[in-house]
Amino acid sequence: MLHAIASRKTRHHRRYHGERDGSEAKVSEEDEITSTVLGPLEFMDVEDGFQFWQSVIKNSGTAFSLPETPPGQIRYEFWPRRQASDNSGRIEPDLLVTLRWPDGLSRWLLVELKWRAPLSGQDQLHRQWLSFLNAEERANALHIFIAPTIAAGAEAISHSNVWGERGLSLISWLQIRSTLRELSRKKSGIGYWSAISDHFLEAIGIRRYHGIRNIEYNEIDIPMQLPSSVFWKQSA
Amino acid sequence: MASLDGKTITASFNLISKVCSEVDALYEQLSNLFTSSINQLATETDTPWLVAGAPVEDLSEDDSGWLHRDALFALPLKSKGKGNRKIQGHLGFQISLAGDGVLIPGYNEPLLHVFLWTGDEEPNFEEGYFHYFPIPDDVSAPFEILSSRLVHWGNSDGTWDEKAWTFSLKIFDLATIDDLHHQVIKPMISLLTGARADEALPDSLSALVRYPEKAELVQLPE
Repeated sequence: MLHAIASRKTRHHRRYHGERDGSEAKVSEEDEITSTVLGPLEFMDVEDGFQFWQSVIKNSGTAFSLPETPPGQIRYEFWPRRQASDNSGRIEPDLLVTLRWPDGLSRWLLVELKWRAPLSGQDQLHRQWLSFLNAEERANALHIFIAPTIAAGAEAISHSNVWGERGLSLISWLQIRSTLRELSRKKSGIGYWSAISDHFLEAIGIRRYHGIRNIEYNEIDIPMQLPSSVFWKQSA
Repeated sequence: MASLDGKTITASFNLISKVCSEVDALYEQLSNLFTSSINQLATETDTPWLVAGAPVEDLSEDDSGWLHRDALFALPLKSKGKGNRKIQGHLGFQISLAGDGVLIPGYNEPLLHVFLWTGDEEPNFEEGYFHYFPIPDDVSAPFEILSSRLVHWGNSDGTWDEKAWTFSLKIFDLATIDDLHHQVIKPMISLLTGARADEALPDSLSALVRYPEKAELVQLPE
């Protein structure tokens, strides 16, 4: 998918701009984007995957930090499903990343991604943090909300801040692009993945502001004055 | 008067389309910067207010209904304290590309208005609760211009919900993410935390609009 879009072989990504062919009953944009962008992390070296999450966390400005040395193992669970600890039904966040170091240290990243859709209920994020993670995980976890606009995450915090000083980390897709651009200079697999994923996000509408003064515009495109055609007609 | 031809119209639309694409990115980026910086300020410092719910967003239309000329984004704020649920103000921005949102004498170009407004009324275009010029010289809402750079309503020594303000920037001179941080977010936070107009909005801000005398702002430019 990433390669097909980069080489202009498909228009499939137009669906993420809201285009529909009319025959599909349900379009799972969020899940497809999650899988397309973050799925390849599961196939990468532990060191490469660690670099990505390390950069995302550092760029987000949160007080939470990971150790400087890469872990021995990173486990990715997409859409993990658990019974809520308060018996309020099942909870299914988008991604749970478990990082384990050889000395027994563990860290968890609980990730919810949105694509131009509201949260599933006002307490979706609160339930994930309080009733999906167990106490040990919560004490060593960062909850990350990634969306084109982060307002829904900020609203969740203002409604009730259950995350305390560590906070719920609000990250726009544009910030993810900044991280990808940083990493795209690397020579290993993560460099190429970052470059092509950055391109994918641009193609699906996560655009950087370049300034209206930098718009490429050719002055002859828009004639501002009446051409002196009358004069030429007279002399012909 | 110049005569019009089809190619000019199409070329103009192509240009507008490029402008809109940039403005869309500007809007999304600014809405995220407003949300994250206000959220950070409220978590890390003891602010007298907190964000009171979902942001307000609106688009204006021209008479034909085909063109959006302005867009606005605002975060509702209320004072901290138990049982206090009423919205007391909105902090946000308005992007105006044409129409009465840009009619400041000497400017008439794409402008960004950054504001804190008091009261529980939601900013919106339909009911006329947005930035337009000339500014109504209403006895119930008298205003003054501070240091030629800030429109100020209410009591400048009062609490956060007793005063309202607006400053404006030329969008043409906002070209990078650094510009958005230094010329929009930083002055907004300074004003919100009590800085004076000339401290929060120094001459070094290249995009800053200098307002004319109040007398010129309350009447249509000639």
